[in-house]
Amino acid sequence: MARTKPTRRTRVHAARVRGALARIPAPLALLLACGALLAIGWDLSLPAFQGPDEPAHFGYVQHLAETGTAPNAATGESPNSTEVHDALLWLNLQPLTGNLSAKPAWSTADLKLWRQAVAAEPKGSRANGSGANAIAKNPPLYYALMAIPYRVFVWLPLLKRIFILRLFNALCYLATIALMWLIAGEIFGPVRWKQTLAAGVVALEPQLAYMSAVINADNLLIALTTAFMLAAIRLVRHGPSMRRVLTAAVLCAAAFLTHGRGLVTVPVFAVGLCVAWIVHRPGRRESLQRASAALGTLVFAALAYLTFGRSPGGGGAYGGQVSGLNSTSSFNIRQFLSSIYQFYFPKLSSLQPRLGPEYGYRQVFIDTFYGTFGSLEVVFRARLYDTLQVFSALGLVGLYTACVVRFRRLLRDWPLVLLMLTLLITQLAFLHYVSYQALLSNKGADPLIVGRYLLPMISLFGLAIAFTVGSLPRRLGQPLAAVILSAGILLSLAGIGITAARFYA
Amino acid sequence: MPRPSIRALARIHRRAALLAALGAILVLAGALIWFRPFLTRITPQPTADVPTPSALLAVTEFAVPAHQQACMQSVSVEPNSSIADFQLRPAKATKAGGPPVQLILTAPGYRATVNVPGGYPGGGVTLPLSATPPHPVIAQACFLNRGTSTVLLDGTSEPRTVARSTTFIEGHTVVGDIALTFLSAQPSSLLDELDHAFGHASDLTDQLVPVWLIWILSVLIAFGVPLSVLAAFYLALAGEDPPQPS
Repeated sequence: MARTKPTRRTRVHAARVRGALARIPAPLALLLACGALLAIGWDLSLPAFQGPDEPAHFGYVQHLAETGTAPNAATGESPNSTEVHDALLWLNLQPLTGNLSAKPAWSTADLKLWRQAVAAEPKGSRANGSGANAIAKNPPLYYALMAIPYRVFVWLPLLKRIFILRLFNALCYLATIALMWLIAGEIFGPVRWKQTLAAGVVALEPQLAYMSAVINADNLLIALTTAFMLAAIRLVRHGPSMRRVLTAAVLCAAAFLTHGRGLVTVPVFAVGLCVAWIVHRPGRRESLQRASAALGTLVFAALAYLTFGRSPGGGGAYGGQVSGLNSTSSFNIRQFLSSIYQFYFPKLSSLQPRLGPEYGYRQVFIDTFYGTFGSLEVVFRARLYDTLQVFSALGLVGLYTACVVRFRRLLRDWPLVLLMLTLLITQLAFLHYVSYQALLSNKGADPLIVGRYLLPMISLFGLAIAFTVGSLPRRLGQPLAAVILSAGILLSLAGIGITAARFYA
Repeated sequence: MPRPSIRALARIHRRAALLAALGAILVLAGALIWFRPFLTRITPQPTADVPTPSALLAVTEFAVPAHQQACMQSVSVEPNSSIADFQLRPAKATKAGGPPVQLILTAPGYRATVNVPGGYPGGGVTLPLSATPPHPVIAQACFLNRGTSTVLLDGTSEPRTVARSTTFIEGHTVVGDIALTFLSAQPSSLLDELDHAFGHASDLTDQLVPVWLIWILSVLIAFGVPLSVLAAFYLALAGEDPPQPS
């Protein structure tokens, strides 16, 4: 076949792409390379379906890609398709989940047995995972996007397809690193080492890197929330132009079309708009136009979801954590506030014991935030979590001190501070509320929240570290940044190592 | 803005290199202190295969009457599966202890046995197989009660921990599996087992990523992650403007 000459248009396009790639700062390019390596490492060390709720998330992607419809949240033949069921069964991936005494069926003989089962599967074995799938109450955006690579690689056998899908999934993680870099650039200016530190701690956050290898809507939610924060920061800093308002609105809508927890971006967006209006005072007509554009985008997205995007099977618009918002359990404000207090501090003698198991900030902010892998069964040594807890506490003291010392700068930048505080408070209040409601409805069995639910705020984590370390004199701050990045490297590699050892040795 | 002098630039580069070197030393020291013992610690009997894992929460006891057997199908046995590990106890505690039990593994071209002598009080059994297969095989595992009293074998009937094996007792299908693990008799460290582990990882990608590529990727990850982060930090520092004299 004769090779066709590239047209002028393709040449211009290729030159543009080359130009854009050349404009990527070298430190960011290296951090993205590090992220790509970590994502591949995690993909290899975690067998299929061993991430949190991974079979259900994959089931949603598969059913949507195969049939064009979401699975049913309430009824159906089976939550897993025959193809997934066979892999879970013949490769012992079902008993492996969360069970440290189990190993996958890992020999070539096992693989042969599974291939025989696959060869005997009847037609339609990929499309019959119709439900009941608890994840089906999630909005469809992530699953619709993942359905694209699924369709492209549908010809591959299941395990190979999952490996490739996870690599696509990792693009969200890489986007989060790049977005963190841009946010740090907006906040600190072009101070490369602070940008590198902020984006570096995000790239090296073990739980975030781990999630990149799990088919789970959280990945897109994290990337979208981080992108939304960048858009909101630009909105507040540079003024509410129509483009900036629409960008933030679209990202906010995309976040709540990805996961119910994306709803926390709505109040942050409202605060961002108000602050931008106060700071930049656009004319009445522009204000009305832009507010209408923002509101219209959100309403349009919500209506489109409620009309076309909801899973069959009835119930609320959202599942999982968000179902706690409309729980009918009896809400008691004193008990709620007491449960929040006891989440962070030891119980006072006058307080009623907290509902549910011993579960507090250590479990959420340390253990499952820094790294608990597999289906929560792969953990670092307790001593390491103790160390992380001590250093996190020292970091908070440092952050507080930096805030006091640089109070005038923070006061000057009050719009940005307010924006970030809104995200922090909204997210935490949301998580505490749904955890409390869950404990009420399941009679204290399961507090529901884990550290990965904090990952949509990962940009605040990166900024807090870069701000605190950057507030120190350069002579101290830069060596401390080197120490933090080194610790992150060790943690990330250790996470991959202990997970691979758990599953394959 | 005035351009920084060559001397100032050299100072910045030296400082950046020093800080990146500090990071490299810390990573190296951390790897030696933290990773080395993890990789080189010898496990006396490393896991060869777990055909049927134990229960996560509630143990199920499978009763095998005298002269009867419990069989499980689709049990994989690897060439390094030289020790069988399972739990059993007499149904009734007596002075004579539990009855003798024989575990028989059969596959085309392969047969191995494990003999548990009678008289045990109950608990874990870790005994050698009479033979190992030359290559991985899918076998049938039968626990034969050779005594005169009933024996109880520990396992699971939890839906989430039941493996692919079908279990029969006295020829009837029962729900659940008897927990069975195979261990290797060759003491080894994680470092010694890397090739095996990479083979398992490759199989779990349906050999999309071959073992040789996993070796290359592992080396790339082990060295590439620290190098890329520290190089990023170096370049970021080296690109800094020199501090203005106060």
